[in-house]
Amino acid sequence: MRDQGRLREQLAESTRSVLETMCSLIPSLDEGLSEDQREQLECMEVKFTGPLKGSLTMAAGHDAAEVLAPAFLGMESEEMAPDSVAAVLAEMANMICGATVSRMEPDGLFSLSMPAPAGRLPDAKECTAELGLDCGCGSIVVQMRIE
Amino acid sequence: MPQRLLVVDDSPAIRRLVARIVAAAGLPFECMAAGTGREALEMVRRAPAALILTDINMPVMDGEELVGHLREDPALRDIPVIVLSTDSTRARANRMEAAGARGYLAKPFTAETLRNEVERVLGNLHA
Repeated sequence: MRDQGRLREQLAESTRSVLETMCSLIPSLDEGLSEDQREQLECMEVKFTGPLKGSLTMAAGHDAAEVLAPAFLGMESEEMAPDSVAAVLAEMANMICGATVSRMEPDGLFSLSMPAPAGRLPDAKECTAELGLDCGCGSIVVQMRIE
Repeated sequence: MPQRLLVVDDSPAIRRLVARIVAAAGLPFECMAAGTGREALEMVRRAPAALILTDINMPVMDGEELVGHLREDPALRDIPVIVLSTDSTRARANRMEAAGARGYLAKPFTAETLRNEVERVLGNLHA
């Protein structure tokens, strides 16, 4: 059975790396989101197959997404095209997923699906590891499910 | 006149991002963009590029297929390709290099990392 604590560490390392490198942001842990807050998060899902099979979901609140997206692209908020926020969340989910599975199985060969919007964020009990982060501009949640 | 660099990614936002990183890295190229491997192939057949930066995971024709088609074409096989991928496993990098890619960068990457990889592939750019 996979070490859930280690998986959570790898998820945290990957997520922090993406946020720091792409958005110049150093997030802190935020495990206190209420059910109402969780229901309002916009979710992107990436599925992966290879030595391990599963999916990663990244969920961000509207306020966080509106700040993270222009920071990720190095643009001002006013310069952002309407569809760019979703495209950035998709690419962030893709980067975090790729970085995490590479940490989990450094010699493995994985295939990642195109990121796609997902419905509501599943309950933490339904995933293998979950990480909540406060980005200063709002919260994001990243979940990993391994089948 | 600057040489052409072709950025290949299915996301317009990411194409713009990579073009900005190329500019931030001080790389002396005029950036062009394509949304699929097939579009990239058509563009370089019309006007060759000095360097291609491509994602792997794209619809229609992915990055690995693009590299394969370039290497099969005598007129295009010398165009250097650097793969930009979310997959940082050695296995994926080896596979892309076996297909004919000259460089490989795992996302996320900084402007400095991109410049170093471009210079490793093309030599010192003096810019």
